[in-house]
Amino acid sequence: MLWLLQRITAVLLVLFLGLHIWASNFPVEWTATFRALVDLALLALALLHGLNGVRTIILDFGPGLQGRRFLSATLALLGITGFLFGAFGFWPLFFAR
Amino acid sequence: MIMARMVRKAFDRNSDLNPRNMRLGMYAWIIQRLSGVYLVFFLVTHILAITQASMGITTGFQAQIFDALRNPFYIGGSLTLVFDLIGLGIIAFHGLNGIRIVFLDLGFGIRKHRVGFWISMFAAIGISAYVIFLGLPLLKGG
Repeated sequence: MLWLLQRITAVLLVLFLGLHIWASNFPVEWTATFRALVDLALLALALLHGLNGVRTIILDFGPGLQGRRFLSATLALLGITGFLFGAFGFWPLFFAR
Repeated sequence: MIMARMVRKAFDRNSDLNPRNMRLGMYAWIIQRLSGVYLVFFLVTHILAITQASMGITTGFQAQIFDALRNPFYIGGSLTLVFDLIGLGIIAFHGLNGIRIVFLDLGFGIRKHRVGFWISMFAAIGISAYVIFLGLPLLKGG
């Protein structure tokens, strides 16, 4: 399942990274909402793909059951925290106070 | 202790990670993992930098981004930008090699996977050269 997730997020990441790098290097006429949506999706996809990759790498070293549970819980928590932190971080870039 | 055991295991004569048993596909696998680890650090610094930079902004999206890059709160200043530009090159490699992997998983081009690796490698070098060319003016503070 997570293997499939890794593939799907990989393909989507390539698309959204293209949009992201294009928008930050060339002038484009997108609405703030669309920019925010692209970056929000990119943030979620990057965190999913990256933390799932970290999980795969650590699992290849063969931790025990306790270790695996701790690992998955920690990474899930990191992902949610990272998403909220990043979203609050770039919010004022799109929607000025 | 654990590290020593891991290294000994990796360089065992029959290990897949012993250089005598490694061929192009295995090197590609290892580079993909190492670049993935780099990109996780890149993601962390990118989120931190953008969050810090977004605290001191005025008007206009592009102006905000360039202000953000020159902002003293931007961790590391141009050193971080060098790290970011290297990151862009590595993103290009990781992404293109990842596309190759997805194609291989779908069953396309399994017999040509070496050619695919070199194509993705050269495309990555081309893309990173172009993007670094775009990013260089930022290093001079322009």
